[in-house]
Amino acid sequence: MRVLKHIVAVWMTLVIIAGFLIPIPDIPILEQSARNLFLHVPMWMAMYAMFLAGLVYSIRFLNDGKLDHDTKAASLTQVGIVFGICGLLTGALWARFTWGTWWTFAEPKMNLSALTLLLFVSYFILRSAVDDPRKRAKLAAVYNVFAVTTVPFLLYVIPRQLPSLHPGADGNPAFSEVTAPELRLIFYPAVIGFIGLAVVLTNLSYRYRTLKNQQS
Amino acid sequence: MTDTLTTAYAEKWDGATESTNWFIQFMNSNDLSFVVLGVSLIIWFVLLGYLYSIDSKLNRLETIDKK
Repeated sequence: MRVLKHIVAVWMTLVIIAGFLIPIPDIPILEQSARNLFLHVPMWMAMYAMFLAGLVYSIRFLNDGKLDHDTKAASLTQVGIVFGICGLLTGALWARFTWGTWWTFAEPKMNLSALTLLLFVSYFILRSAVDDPRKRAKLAAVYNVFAVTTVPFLLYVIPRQLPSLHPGADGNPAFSEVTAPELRLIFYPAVIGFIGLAVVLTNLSYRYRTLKNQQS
Repeated sequence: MTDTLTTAYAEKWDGATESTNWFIQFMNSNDLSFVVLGVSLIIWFVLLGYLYSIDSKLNRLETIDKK
């Protein structure tokens, strides 16, 4: 982690600079806002990565009952929510100036991602409702397994069946067809960079939680 | 009764009037470049807020520790 944070710092600096400077093809409606691909989409990728890692630690907790795994799962999920909030807010702003509205209930991905976040907020409400650490960890782990399992359905399967303004949905070409190759040059490093940043933030949150557990 | 289940009530929602205040005009200028700035700032402030919250929680732990 000592090394990782420095790598992330340099990597993200380069990604942000390159993301603003590379010439991009002229895409109607999106115009320069196509650069948001480097910011908005990696938010969701980072969220997926954190939730998925949280699932792994929840399962590991259920396997061996080590409270440390539960602490890791909680930290990962919390950072996942932070990135999800970033994704929602940036999406709303982007939508206003390309689709013409801050929020629309006709857009399944938008609404289902908000629903997904609510599912994970419930994870923390559940945690705060139980005082006994072992009981809390067990309940939270079981709930987390349920919550993460719904994510691919809510954010991938269902939006693909419905008409949507997002790329890859019914009536819209998929990401691979609309994305100019030069955008990918920054997009994939941005995804890696933001996931790295999420890991660094998770580490902070994990260390705080560990300290707090030791004190109480 | 207008059948709003099978046909659209109207082409445009009555409440929706295209606003052209300074903010909308500013964001629409320069080929939507400022939308990218806005998105960057949103991410920056959300992450900054998260860091602040961890910082304040750590401070609380430290004050309890001293007591």
